[in-house]
Amino acid sequence: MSGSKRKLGTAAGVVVLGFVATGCGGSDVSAGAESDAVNLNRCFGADCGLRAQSLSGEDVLARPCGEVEGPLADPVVFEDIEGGLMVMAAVEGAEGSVWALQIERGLSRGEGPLNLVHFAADGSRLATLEVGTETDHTVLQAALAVDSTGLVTIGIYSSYAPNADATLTEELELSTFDSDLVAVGAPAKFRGMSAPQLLSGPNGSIWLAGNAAANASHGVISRVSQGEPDWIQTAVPASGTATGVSGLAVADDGNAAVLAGLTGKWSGTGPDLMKVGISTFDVTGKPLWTLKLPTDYTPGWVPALGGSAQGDLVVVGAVGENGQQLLARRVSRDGELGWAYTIEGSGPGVDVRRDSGRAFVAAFNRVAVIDAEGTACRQFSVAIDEASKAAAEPWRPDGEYLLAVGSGLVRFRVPE
Amino acid sequence: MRRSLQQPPRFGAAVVKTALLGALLCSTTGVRAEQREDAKRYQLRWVREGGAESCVSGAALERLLQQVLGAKATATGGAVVLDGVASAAAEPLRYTMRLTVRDAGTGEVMGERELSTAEPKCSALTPALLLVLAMSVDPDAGKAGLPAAVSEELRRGREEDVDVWPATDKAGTPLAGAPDAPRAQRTSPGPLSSRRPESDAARNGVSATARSAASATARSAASAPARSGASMDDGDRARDHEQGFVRDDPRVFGALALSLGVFPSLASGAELGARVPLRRGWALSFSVLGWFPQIVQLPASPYLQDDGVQLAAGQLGAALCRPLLGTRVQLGVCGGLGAGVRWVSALALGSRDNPTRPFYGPTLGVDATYRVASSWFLSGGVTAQAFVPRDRFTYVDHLGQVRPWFEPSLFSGRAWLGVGAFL
Repeated sequence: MSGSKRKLGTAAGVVVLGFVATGCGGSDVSAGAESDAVNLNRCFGADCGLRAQSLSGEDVLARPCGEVEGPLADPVVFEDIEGGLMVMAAVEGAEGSVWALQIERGLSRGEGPLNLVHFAADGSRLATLEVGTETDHTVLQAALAVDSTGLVTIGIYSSYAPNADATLTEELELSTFDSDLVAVGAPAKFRGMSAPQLLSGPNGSIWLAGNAAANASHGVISRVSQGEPDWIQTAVPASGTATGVSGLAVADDGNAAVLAGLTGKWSGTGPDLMKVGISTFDVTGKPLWTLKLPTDYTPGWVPALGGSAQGDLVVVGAVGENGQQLLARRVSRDGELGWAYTIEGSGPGVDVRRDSGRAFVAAFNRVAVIDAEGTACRQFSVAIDEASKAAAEPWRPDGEYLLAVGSGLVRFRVPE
Repeated sequence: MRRSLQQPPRFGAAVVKTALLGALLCSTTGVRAEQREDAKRYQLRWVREGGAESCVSGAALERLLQQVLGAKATATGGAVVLDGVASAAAEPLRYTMRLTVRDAGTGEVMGERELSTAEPKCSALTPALLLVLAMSVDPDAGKAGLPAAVSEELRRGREEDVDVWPATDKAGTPLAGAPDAPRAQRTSPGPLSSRRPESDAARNGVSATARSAASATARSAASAPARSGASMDDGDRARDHEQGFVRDDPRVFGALALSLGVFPSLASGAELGARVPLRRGWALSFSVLGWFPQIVQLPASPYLQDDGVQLAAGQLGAALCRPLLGTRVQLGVCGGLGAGVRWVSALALGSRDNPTRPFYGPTLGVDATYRVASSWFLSGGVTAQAFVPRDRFTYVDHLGQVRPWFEPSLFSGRAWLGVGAFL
């Protein structure tokens, strides 16, 4: 009995000591801290469980594009810096100015800085800002968008791991600058997207689409305003094993379309084939419809997407053996298949003029120009010679121009 | 309503009368064998009053008594008439049996006895009843306890919750003499086998008070089934009964609980515990209670990794309990202390502290126990508990602002339902 009393006393003592040690007032107990980066792997502000309407359509017989009519006009070579240059992204700004993200100097050593450069319409450099990330990070992707207010937003994806056993640190950082390259607000960090597609939309918002790295099972699209996501939609059909999200288009009403490679198809005997799909979302991120295109595309070539202000789309992808032929087809904003053209060449790329709806399809050293209705497909060569450079006319507000990027930055005027 | 088994007395037989008186007054004096045989003749009258229908039936009692004495009750004649009435008793007791031994010839009262119990089952009195009746006929009967077959039948009857046993099968063969094989394989000890001292007490009591009308309530209460592991002995229990305390049996229990105030929303949990009786009606209860993990949603933010943080808790409790009233349905109160920890898994946060935080607090509750059978019960109750220290659980958002997500209330309440077993 006395032993029991002793135990009871000990227990009471422990309780009293607990009270004394912790007090009755309590304190703040921190569970941790939010990440400093937006998590693009998680649905936010949108209905991600909603199933989009699945569309299908009859394939349209593709017509061959016309012969090459001549070179593009008025070539302007933008100011370069000796020592190497690689343009990662470029976009037209106001009054013929051009914004570019390019790696300059030391490219041959693989360690050149990443610069944001603002060019004047005549190709002269207005301002340069080094925007490279931490020195030990590897810059893998960069994207650029200019909104209606003249602000430019850049997205840089970088990754870092000190060794093979360490967890990979990857990050997409969006930064906004005014026309004088003065930063507007703090950079916004995102995780869960490795190949960003960046477009400006109405009301100064930015649309962001892409895939997470390492076999992501779906894509993601988000609308970002002032560095904070309005919504994040993760129900974007995309295969992360090969070509994931490769194109983004946003109409003036805020409807967005995402182009993505779907699961590849391998017959076991013939060439590998790739299917491509389009998924669309309204301005609130609600899924509208999805469409799996009937074409078998050639793997290894990344399909491209362009869109008009009305939301009509043009998809360009490589077809045929070795992907040496391009197929450009129109898809209406309602998901109906329109005209289709085949273009000899490789390296699919497309730019759709927002107002006229004309599509400029890049095919290695040529450009195919298709009007909005698809009544004609004209081809022009991309050639720069001293004579044409000397005869180039200044930028015109009513002209339609095309930026050619690669080891340099060149602007051409597309004939009417 | 009365049910009775009445056998009219046989008149005459002065020799038997003399022998019976001798046996009752001086159980140690020698009696010749033939006189004993005559003395074993008896009549049995047994009545169960309303409320005592669950007590042993007349047919079963006659058969069991025959097994104990080796002599069957007669319809007439014999030395004595055993007259018994079972009836419901006032609280805190449950059943009372009044036994009267009369001279079969003259009708003179030779002895009276009253047995009573607070047990929920009247069958608790059957062993004592058998011994009293048997020793009233033959003072040597039951000196070594009840016959094994009788004990086995009584034990089986209690285990199986059978209070009214069949007298015989259709062929007239006594059922208790040869238990069927599956039943005989039961290995748990019978109540009587572990209660030899109580049987002795009952037997001695008959010898000493066979001619007195003194109440045997205390001894009968002491003869209620003893439960191993109790911290109070049978004497303590008897004293408690005499002083009007409601008895609290040792028990183990498990329960499911719903709580408010422990977590941000209604929390569910499971509890295991044991209760040990103390003196003067008090009992000490120990329990371990675990609340099932709950996801606490954080304010929607694109910077979260998941929907929320997971919160779980567990505590140890000790309480002094006191039954207030009732036997089959027993109400009581408990007051004590609880001490435990809450732990957090910050699934939604980029950097996770995953804190574990202790809490303490007094508890006060009421409970109800419903004795479904002699060995198990259902219980339920409500408990209020205070929690200190008054912590506030927080996290830091992406802008560096401290945001609270849960502030436990000072008081919590829980309701629980459970099942348990008496030890």
